[in-house]
Parts: sequence; C-alpha cells; structure tokens
Amino acid sequence: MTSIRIRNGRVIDPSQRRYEVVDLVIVDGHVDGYIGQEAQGSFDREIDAAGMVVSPGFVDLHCHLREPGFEDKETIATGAMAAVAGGFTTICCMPNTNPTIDTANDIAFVFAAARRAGLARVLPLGTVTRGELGRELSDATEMAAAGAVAFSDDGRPIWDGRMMRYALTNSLRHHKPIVNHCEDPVIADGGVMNEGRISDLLGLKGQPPAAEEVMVARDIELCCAWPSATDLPYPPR
Amino acid sequence: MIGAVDRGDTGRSHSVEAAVPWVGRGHVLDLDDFSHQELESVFNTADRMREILARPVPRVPSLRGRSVVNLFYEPSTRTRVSFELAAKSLGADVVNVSASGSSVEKGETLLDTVRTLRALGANVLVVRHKESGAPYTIAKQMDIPVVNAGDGTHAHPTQALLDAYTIRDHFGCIEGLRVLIVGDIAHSRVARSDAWGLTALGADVVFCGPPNLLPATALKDDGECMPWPVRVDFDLDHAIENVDVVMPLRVQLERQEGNRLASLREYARDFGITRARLARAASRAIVMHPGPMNEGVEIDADVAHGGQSVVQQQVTNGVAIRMAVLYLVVAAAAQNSNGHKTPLVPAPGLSGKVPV
Ligand SMILES: [Zn+2]
Repeated sequence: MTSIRIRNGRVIDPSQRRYEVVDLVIVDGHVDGYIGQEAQGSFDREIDAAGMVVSPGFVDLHCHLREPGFEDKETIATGAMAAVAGGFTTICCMPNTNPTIDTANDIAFVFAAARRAGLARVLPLGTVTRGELGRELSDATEMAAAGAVAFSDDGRPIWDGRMMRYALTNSLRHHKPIVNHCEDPVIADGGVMNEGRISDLLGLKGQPPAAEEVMVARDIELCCAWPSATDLPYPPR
Repeated sequence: MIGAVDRGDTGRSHSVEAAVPWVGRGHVLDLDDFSHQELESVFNTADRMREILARPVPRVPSLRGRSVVNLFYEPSTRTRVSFELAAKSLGADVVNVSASGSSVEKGETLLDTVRTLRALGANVLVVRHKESGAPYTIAKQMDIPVVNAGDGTHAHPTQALLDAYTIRDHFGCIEGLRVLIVGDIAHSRVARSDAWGLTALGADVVFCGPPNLLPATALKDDGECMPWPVRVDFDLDHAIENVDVVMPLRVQLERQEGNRLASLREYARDFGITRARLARAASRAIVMHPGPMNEGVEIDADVAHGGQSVVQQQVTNGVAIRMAVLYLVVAAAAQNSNGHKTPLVPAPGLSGKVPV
C-alpha cells in the first residue's frame, strides 16, 4: 500500500461540489479522501501544490494523434505527452490517419502505441465508413469489441444522409456514439473563418453558421426518425 | 486593420498624428488607418512627382543605390509596370520576381523567399499575393518597407490612392462628392481600399451590385453592420441618380456565371454602365475603372472611351502615386533608422534628395 498526500492545492471537483483549498490523500492510485491542512499523518510521499489547482484528470473527447501516417505532425506518444502536460489524463483520438482506423487491428495498434507511451489513457475512435470515403460502412461492431469508444469520419462530414441513417441504426448493435463532422461542404464553400464583419473586413472567405446548422438539423431528424444509440455530439452553437 | 505594423494609433478622427502630414509609416498595406491629412500629403507628394514625370528626362536620383523588389505571386501587367516605372523614375534599381519560374515553384515558403530577398539587399518590397493578408505577414518580419500591391480580396492601397488622386484632380476637392462603386464588391480589394480612402476624404460612397456579389454584412439585417461607412443599393438605376463618380469593377468572368449570377448577360443588362444609365448621373460625372475592362459587360465601350471616362488618367496618375509612396516609405525608413519615432518628412524638393 502506497500513500500520497497533495498539500495546499485548490481542489476543484464539480462532481463532488468541491472548490476549496484542502489536502488530498491518494492510496494505491485512488482518491482516499480529503483531510484538513492541519491534520497529521505519515505518507509515503507528500506533494506541495500551493498555488495550484488539483482536479480530476481532464478528458479530451476530440483530439488528433496523427499516427499512423502523419508522424511529422504528431505521434501517439507526443500527443500523450502534451495531454498529461496540460492535465488531460484521457484523450479520444480521431481516426483520420493514413491508413484510417477501420478495423479491430487498427484499434489494437493505437492501444499498443499508447501503452508503450505509458502516459495518458488513449481511447481510439474508428471510422464510420471505410477510408472515410463515405461509400461503405466500416465494421463498427468488430472495432467496438476491440475497444473503440465511438465512430467518426472526422475531417469529413458524413455527407450522404442515407449512410448516416444506417450508421446510426447500426449503433443499436455496438451502443457507441456516432460523431459527425457537421459541415455542409457546399455551403461552407472553402470559407476559412466565420462569415461576418471581420471576414468582410479582412477580405477572407467566410463560412456561414448555416453550413454547420444544416447538417445538425438533418442529423436531428435522422435521430428522431429511427432509433439509435446516439446523442448529437456536435451541439449547435 | 490586420497586423498593424509600425502604425501607432489608428484612430482616424482623433489621431494624435492628425496634424502631421506623414506619420513615418514604414509600410503601406491598406488605407484603413490613413487620416485625411496623411492622404493629402501623399497627393501633394504625387503633385511633385508629376512635375518630374513631365520633364524631358523624367528621372531623379532620390532612390539611387536602393533596390526595389517587385514580388508578384499573381500575374499583373499594369500594377507591376507602374511600380517599375515609378521606382526607375526615382533612380532605384528594380528587380521583378514572379512566382512562376522562381524558387516559389520549388515550394519555398513566402517568408523564406522574402528573407532571401532581404539578404540579397532588397530595400523595398512591393508585394502582390493571391492570399488576403500575405503582405502583413511579410511586413511583420521585415525591417524594410513593404508596399501592398494587392492582396487577395482584401486591399489594394496604391490603386485606391490613385483613384482618389484622380478624383481630386478632376473636382479639386473630394469632400461631399457622391461616389458609386458597382459590381463584385465581395471579391474586390479595390472597392475595399477605395471605401476607406474616399470616406476618409469625406466622400459619400455607395456600393451597388447584385446581392450575391456584395459582402456578407451588406445583406444582414440583424445589426451586424458593414466595416466601411458606406451605403448599399441593389438597384443601379436608382443608385446612379446624380452621382459624381461612377466606378464599375471588373467582373471576374471565370468566377461568376451560373453560380452567383444567372449569366453575364443578366449582369450586363442590370449592372452594366451604358450611355443611357450614365445620363442619369450628374452631368459633370466622371467614369473610372481599375482595369482591365470587360467592355460590353460591366462597361460599354462608348462609355469606357467616351468624354466622361478618366480611365487613362487613372493609369497615368498611378505612376506618380507609386513614386510618392515609394519615396515616402523609404524616407520614413531612413529617418526611423536614425532613431526618430514619427519624423516629419518634407515633401520632396525638385532635387529629390532623400533625407538621411
Ligand atoms: Zn477533428
């Protein structure tokens, strides 16, 4: 049994309705309780967190680790390092790598690399359609069994409404969310920023909110029309 | 607005530099923060330059020994030649670099290219780029003057200066004049810079065009207003009544048909400047065009070459304006390097010596 005391930090934990300066005791990797700063006791290790925030590890539901295929930008190991440096202990990585994360083997590859890095908990998403090409569904059931936490063609919208319909109803088998990159590419029309006064001012091509809202509206209708395991993960602004 | 560089206070009306003719700006990137007085100082300098250009040998040694590099990432004839002639008339050495046939084609980045040009001894960079904001990115990295010769759909300050200068030439004063800019405002860097320059000089500016070619905020009724203090009209026959200046913009033939417009025929019918429409403008009205013109589309040939057209004067004035701009930024750079923060730069004497 090993014990750690984190002294003098400001504990912020909304789930416990806590926002106070208090000491935290950890035993064998789990929170054991809170004790007053004056309380005595002996611990294997003490950490002084004066002036710091102590909180549950953050979770990033949408990040890009770029491996395999774009290791010049990021790898699973460098992304995990960045995550823990910023307080994120769990990160969900999008499948728009090269090749894309389409199979149980691909999911296993991400877990293996994350285990080697040994830092943040890395939870991979699989693709909705093979290669994110929007033509054929990926085998979500197989990937979910291998540990995929959700499915997405991130970087690209699921443009074909019929494909979205069947991806949603198929989620009744694996019970994982479908994460759509909600952007109608035709309405977005290559815009590089929000359309409005500043895009007019800078002479940059604007992208109207409708580009996102149109696809969100479609997905809401699909979710209403057929049962699925899915919430809308990209809420309207 | 973006990437304010060496500008200090950008307030137009309450600027502390209001009394100072030229605030020693190291770069000319847009007219959005030019004061009335500063614009006048450019025009007064251009008046001197025009005297030089009228000489039998139109050349002074003001910029002798300095290298002006025209870095053009977009094809251009009139603007590039205009800058080249302006720089040569001031005695500068001129180097033209275009994107095709240079290391840009090998994938060299914008900043690597300009750093290389700087290391090779460039003293002024004149930049034309298809991406809005590119000259600002360069200016932030450069200790030499950068002049924007047109960036994407954002700004074209020397064109706007020569437009205002041509109007001033014709009417004497710009204050209170009614200026109508017609066409694809959404994609026009000329319209944007003209709006800043002409409104700073007190003109009443109207943007006119089909809704699909106007900036997004021109159509908004939710209170998000346009950045420029101008009015909008979708109906040319209404908008042209009694205006003093009519400026049709070039329709980008390749961009519009069947997409934002039904056809060029539709455009020409409702937004082309014809002799009949021009008759509804003020009788003293002039017609301008930033070029190159599509005759029969945004402007009829008899208007383009008729008695009210000042298109050729615009082109001629462009050289004097660009001489003034090059002269002023080099002079400001020379003074800045002497440690003066906002030096007063005298208008060039006919000897054309740059203060050092
Ligand atoms: Zn993403």
